[in-house]
Amino acid sequence: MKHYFQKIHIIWAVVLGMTLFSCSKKLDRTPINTTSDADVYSTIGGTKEALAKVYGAFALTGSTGSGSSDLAGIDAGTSDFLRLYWNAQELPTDEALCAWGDPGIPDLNEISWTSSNTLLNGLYNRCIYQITVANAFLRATATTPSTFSEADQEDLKHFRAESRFIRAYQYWVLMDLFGNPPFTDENSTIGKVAPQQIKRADLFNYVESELKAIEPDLVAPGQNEYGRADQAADWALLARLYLNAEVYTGTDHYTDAITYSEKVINSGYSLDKNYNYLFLADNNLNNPETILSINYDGNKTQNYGGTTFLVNACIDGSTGAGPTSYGVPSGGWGGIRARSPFPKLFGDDYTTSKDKRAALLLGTDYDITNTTTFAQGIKVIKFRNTNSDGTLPANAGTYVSTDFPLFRLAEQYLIYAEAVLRGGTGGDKTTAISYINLLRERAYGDASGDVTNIDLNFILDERARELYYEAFRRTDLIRFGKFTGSSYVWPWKGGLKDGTSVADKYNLFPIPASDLSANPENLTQNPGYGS
Amino acid sequence: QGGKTISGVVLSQDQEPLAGVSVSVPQTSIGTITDDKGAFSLQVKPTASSLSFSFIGYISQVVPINGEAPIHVVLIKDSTSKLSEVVVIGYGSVNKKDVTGAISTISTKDFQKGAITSFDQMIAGKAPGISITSNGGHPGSGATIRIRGLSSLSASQDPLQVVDGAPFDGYVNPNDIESVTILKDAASAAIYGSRASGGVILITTKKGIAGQTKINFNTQFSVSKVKGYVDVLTGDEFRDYINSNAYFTADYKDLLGSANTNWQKEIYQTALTTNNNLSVSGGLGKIPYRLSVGYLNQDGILKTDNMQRTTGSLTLNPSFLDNHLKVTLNLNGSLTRNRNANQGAIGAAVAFDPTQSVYDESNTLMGGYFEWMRDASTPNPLAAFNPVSLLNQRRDVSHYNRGFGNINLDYSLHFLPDLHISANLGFDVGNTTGTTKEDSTSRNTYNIQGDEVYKGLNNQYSSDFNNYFAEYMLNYKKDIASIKSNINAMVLYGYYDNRSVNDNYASFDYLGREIPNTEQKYPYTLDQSTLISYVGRLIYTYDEKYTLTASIRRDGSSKFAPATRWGWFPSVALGWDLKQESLFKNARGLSSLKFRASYGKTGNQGGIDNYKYIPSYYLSDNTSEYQFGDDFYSMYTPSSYDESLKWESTASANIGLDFGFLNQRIYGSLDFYNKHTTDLLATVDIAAGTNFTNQLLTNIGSMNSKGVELNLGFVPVRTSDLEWTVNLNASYNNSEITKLLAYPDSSYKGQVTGDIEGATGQTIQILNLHQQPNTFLVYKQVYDANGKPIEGAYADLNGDGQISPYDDQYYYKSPWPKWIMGFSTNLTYKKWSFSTTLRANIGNYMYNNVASNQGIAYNMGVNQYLANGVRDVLYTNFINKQQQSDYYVQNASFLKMDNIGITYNVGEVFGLKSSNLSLSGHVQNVFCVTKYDGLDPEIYGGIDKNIYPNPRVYTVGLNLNF
Amino acid sequence: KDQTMVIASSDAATELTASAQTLVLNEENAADQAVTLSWSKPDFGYAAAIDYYLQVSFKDSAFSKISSIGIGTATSISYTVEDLNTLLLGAKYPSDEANDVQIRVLAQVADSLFVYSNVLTVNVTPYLAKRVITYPNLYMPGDYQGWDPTSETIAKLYSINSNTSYKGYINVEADTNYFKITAAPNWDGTNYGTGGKGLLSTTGDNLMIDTAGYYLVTADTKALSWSYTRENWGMIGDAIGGWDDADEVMFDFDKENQVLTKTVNLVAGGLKFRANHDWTLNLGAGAKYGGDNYTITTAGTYLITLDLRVPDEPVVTMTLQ
Ligand SMILES: [Ca+2]
Ligand SMILES: [Ca+2]
Repeated sequence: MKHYFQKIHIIWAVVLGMTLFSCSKKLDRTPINTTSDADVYSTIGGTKEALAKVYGAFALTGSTGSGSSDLAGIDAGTSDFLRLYWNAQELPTDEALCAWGDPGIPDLNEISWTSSNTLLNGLYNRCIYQITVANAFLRATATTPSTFSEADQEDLKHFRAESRFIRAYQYWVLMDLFGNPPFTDENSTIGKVAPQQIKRADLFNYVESELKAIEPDLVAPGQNEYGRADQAADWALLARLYLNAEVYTGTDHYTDAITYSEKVINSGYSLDKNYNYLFLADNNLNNPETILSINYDGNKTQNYGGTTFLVNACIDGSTGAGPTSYGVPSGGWGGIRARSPFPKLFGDDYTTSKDKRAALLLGTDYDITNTTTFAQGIKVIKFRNTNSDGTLPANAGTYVSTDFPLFRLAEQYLIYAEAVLRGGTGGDKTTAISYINLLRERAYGDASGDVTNIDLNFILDERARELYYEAFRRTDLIRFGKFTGSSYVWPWKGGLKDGTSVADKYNLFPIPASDLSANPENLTQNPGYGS
Repeated sequence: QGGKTISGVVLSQDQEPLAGVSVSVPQTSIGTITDDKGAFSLQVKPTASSLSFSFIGYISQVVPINGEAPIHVVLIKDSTSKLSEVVVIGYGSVNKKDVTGAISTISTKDFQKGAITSFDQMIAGKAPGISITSNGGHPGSGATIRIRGLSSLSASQDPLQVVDGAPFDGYVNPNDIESVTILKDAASAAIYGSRASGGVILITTKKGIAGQTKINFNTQFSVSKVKGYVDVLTGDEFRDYINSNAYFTADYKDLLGSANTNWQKEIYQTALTTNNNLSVSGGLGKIPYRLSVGYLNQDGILKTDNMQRTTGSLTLNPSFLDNHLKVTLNLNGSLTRNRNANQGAIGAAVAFDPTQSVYDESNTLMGGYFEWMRDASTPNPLAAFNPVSLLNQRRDVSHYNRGFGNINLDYSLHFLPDLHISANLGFDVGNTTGTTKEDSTSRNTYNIQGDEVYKGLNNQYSSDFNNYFAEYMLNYKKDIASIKSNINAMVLYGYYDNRSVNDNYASFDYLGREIPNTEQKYPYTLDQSTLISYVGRLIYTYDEKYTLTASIRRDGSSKFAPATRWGWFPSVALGWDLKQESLFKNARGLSSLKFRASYGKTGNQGGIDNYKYIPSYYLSDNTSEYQFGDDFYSMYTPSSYDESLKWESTASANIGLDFGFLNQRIYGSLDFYNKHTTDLLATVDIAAGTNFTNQLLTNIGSMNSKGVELNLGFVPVRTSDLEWTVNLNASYNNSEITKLLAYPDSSYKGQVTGDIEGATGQTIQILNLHQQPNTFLVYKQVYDANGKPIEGAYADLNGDGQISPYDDQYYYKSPWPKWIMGFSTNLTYKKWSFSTTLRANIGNYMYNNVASNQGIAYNMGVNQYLANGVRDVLYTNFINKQQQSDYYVQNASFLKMDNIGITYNVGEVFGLKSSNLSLSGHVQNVFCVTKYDGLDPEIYGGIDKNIYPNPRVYTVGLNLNF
Repeated sequence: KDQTMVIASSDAATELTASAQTLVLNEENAADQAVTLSWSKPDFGYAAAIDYYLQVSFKDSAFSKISSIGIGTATSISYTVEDLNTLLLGAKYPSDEANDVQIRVLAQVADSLFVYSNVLTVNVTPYLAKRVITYPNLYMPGDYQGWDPTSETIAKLYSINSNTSYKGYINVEADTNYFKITAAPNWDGTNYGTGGKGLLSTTGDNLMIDTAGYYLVTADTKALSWSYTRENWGMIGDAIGGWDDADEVMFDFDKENQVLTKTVNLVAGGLKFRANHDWTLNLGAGAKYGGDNYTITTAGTYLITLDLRVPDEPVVTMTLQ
């Protein structure tokens, strides 16, 4: 009997011990493979890795491989910035038509979208996501750790200015596409306080003031690391902003557009000798023209958006010499091709044009009678995953290494010329014509394509010839008053084969229904899209 | 008159008078019942030779009449009777008469029989309010169990499984199960607090009895066959369709082959299962034990699918110190070897071009299988894969070992025997290891990387988990006869810890070369969550008529921030034995009547991620780096989080009545309940810019479920040779979302949900106020005069002349049945016994995603390959996707016969006195009556994508006891 | 189905009517309402979302070739004289003669659910539209036109940027030509004369061009400067006989419309316009300076018009006769 009692005492001792051991502190479980923000920002190295996400948010869909996404409610592979931005800027225009029936695509093709368009919802949230990440970066780096060396502090100053640049860029995108988005900055906290809406004109002022405010804190033109914004990027965005100012605010800023495009033009960049090299897998090397790019790498920066999308969607198994010749041996998704007006900008038969920019088109079947038949329509093989020496990047399969130029010198030439033609002062037409002829001489290989006179319609066409498939077209057509209405129709505009007029409300995309529901107190829908 | 009057008294064993005992003359309608002194007086015919005495809960007696002499009868309690049955409740057990909540118990004799491989199959259709939906026909894939409808949107709704007091969802061999008890109302379940919103399932295993050595051997052999195929076009029909349809260009017509292949037939097989179980129970000296081993070898009907499971369980329940210390040890282990077939073959077989042959010997690159190729050296990357090659060229073998068990020490103090101190310590550990290999010629893994072609696959995976708990309890039980009171009080402290590790590996080709860019950043991920609980309960019974149960639990969870992690979960319940009241005491024919009422609150934190309240950063993977300069940088990525995340809580009220008539030949119960969930955990759109994502799991909204449950049992015939029992149950449930917004907004359109196949990001269901969860949101299809749907034509519901999402979509039905019904019957005649179980769901609707995705021409010829369509395309002639049409939302009400079986009881064998042999034959999934067009009307969530079909199973079995 | 099916009626119909049956269009009334076309909403037997398309049959094609105009959900459309004129010319109805124009409405719900209205015939006489230029302009009354600033037949200078810089063409016929520049089509506003070589003055004598020909004139009213350059335009290319200088065919000047015109026979081939027998200043496809060749695919007689009135916005029309 006593023996048993001793055992029981032992048992209860164990019980008591476990009870004490199992105190409430045990409820503070923390994840592994993660870090607190205090740790991240305690070193300049960690801070730079956080900066990598500020940038990476527009390059990648997520942080855990190509199947991951920072966003929900949209296919992960589709949720990246460039793919969605590109679709929004190109599919509704005369430059491109996508053959896929995936939700959201036909509506973009035909300019008949609604506030529940999946792709527009994804784009809106992607832009705001990147802003939120940039805000968090700015919030966390508001005070400099005392352990930072002087060099670290200098780096941090640049990092912060670049985060503000990225944020301003995304606000510019939102302003251009959605007009009146919700507004947050580094003073907005993470949680449940729903942000206020900002008016398009006010957002213009904000973006302008931010870009001007950060100018001194950015690295001098061409002096930053590849892939990071410098002062030239800042000016380039200001020039683009001013060129479109009248659309955004009703007040033009063409003189400012001339001022800032000229600053970029005079900051040491030059045109790449080979137009097509700008869009190849090794375009990060020896590239004198690109001011800022979104960087991709087939091994290190993989996703199903970005240039992986651009290269694969523009070809299928039977395009040209096959997918391997475009650097994607296991790719080729057969989606996007041009509508007939675009190749005709190079002449009724673009194949006879001396313009080398037309050499990146393929095929003879101009007319698209069935939107879902990829075989119809001229193919655009501008973006490729091959190196300039013809080799393929290591491990080429589906993912693409080509970087996407967000800002390059050629656009600044075109901004300058257009701003002059639109009456901006401080520039002159002779210089404008000479800038245009720089582009044309590169395109023609000699002076045979030079022009002696230019007008606005010529500029619109030349922008298409130079900047096609670089996500400019919708903004350009709107600036020229040709996107909606009947002054210019193109095949399948408005859903008809020969094209038809569409309502002016489509000059702005709608605020997504999901956000109107989540933030009903603050958000008002853009005109024409209902509540 | 010519009769005689017999009178007498009926007493219980303890000489208490028994009121309400029915006294009758056998084979006649003459009878009476005893009064509250136990006395009776009855006029009988002179020829009457005996009287029968029966009373619920007691063994009936037939007593000879001796003239007119008074009869003095003592009735003995029937320990097997329903009324005296002990019912397992949370942290203990009570007599059935003291039950105050809504509890269903299904024990051995009521279980479904046949090829049963998990406990859910045994109880399907057996109790009201419980919905059990198979997760498909893959061996070991289990079922989704819902108790009383829905209680959450994004958190887990699975009931908590407790095996012999251990809260683990480990696998229990059905042969070891004695009974399954389901706690349905919050008052019963609240004792499990934060994990009980989905209800609680208590599994009690069989135990040994010292001194009675029993050996049971049970063996079954089953044949499983596919019940039917998805109705797709044959090769000839497909050829005709493509050739005659102007939609398809010549390029596609040229792709047609000349074969007639039924791909579904190619991937399914007649599958064999053997299931053997041996158990020995008895006493090792004074220690009762039960030891059982089982071995199951089950082929799936999908070729290459196989599971082999060896289980062992040991129970020891000795008592020491003059029964003051009771020890119960339960140990369960299982070793499972799975060969997992590639289930992608199921959808592939439905869609694969039937004009192509399985094999194409010239295609050596792809192992001699037909595959869609761009040219001889490149497969078409967008095309579907040959279903047979998907199966045959993969070999995915995993080993899953699991052990769980607990030891319960219950000590009643020598100086105060009414006070028990007990400790219950348990563990649940398991690990999985496996390899996935694919042939070098497998299309599935054909992977071009630049100049290298990485072929095949040789990957490994592994994970393990370690769960522990400790519970310490004080329990005081006292019968205080002087004030007719019985007290049962309990306090408990519980600590529960769950920890799982998942290892990360790179991928390798068949030559063992690492496939580029697959190396992992971290060797493993670890998840841990902890729960701490304090529980108190009082069960007070007065005069054996009134029972009050009150409990309270306080739970703290590591999933929530310190400010929100603790929650209170109280309950109160009342039982009133009306039969004891004078009004009913003498009611003839009424053998029992009890009223129950309860109210309680449960919490929910299940199924949500562990650390969602903590702001944190993680480094990106090696393939998700960003380039600055010449270097690539890992991205420090902020995770989304909700600092104020907290318990979802469900308050539920229940009113019930238990009744029995005619000496329990008819018995049953009726329950009404109302459940209200608040702080609903749901993943919803959040205001853009407020977090590091656009949809967040957060506490938002509330939901209500109301229902009625009826359970009825009959024993129409009961003689020594023939017994016929019938059970009928029916339950009605309606769940509705009552709030779903942080801010009220009349223009709120709801939260879309229910992903469908065929278009990424596309959904078919919606969560919105005043709707059932997952209500279908669809356009109203327009039909032509012949009743055929017109492509692209929908009714303009708001009359603005255009068809727009939301505005012209309407709420059309939900996947949740209004009525769930079960019917079981058992007929035993001498040595033969026959049983069947039927189930019906009424009012549930299904979205036929197979038809909406594969009943259109567009998907039959796109991306340079051909794909088969379902026959519906011949009817609709749809070219493009019409996925949001209500045409595809179909009534999926059904009546299913789950099981039919016959058993022959041979009796003693080998001349052994206590031996018994029985032989049986069963069929499962016998038939299904439904209007639904797809393969199976019963798919959880109401969206029919391509499912692994549940086979029809024919089983013969032998059961030997000695 | 479990619910009542929505059945589309097969006898939906729509009736098209016009507010006028006979229309003679002319340019003076360009902005006026010409006609309103209305149609009834067809009853498809349920609340249908109908898109309407107005279809205008090409001349004599009986709807085998149509101009289709997407209307959306409205059940009527009004045309101004100008818009209707543009529509009909686009459908190959000749100007200045009465045409029976066939019109119908397509009311469409889905690819396989639609109905056509009756075919309505409207008698319309279109006009040949003149180019409307809306830039701020100056006038150049002078010898060449009888010194009448109010005349329709007058050369103008335009400022496409609405500033003080103007450009335009003048065609002078005699070797000595005096003219002035006026701000308004009368003598009441500011009048510019010469202020010395290349300069303007509001008080100066007449300006002068001394050789007959077609000239580009520039003027800046702020800098008070002006200039003129001769541009002798012709067309050249294998479509018109070859690419040699000798093959060039020169334009005539259409005084009434102030544009260059020529009726020529063309064969399939390339064609370009150039000035002064030289390639320095040339116009190609899309009326682009320095643009690619025009490609003529159909041989025949063409009326070619080169409208250079706004120097930055040349307009070329080639009409197969
Ligand atoms: Ca790159
Ligand atoms: Ca509508």
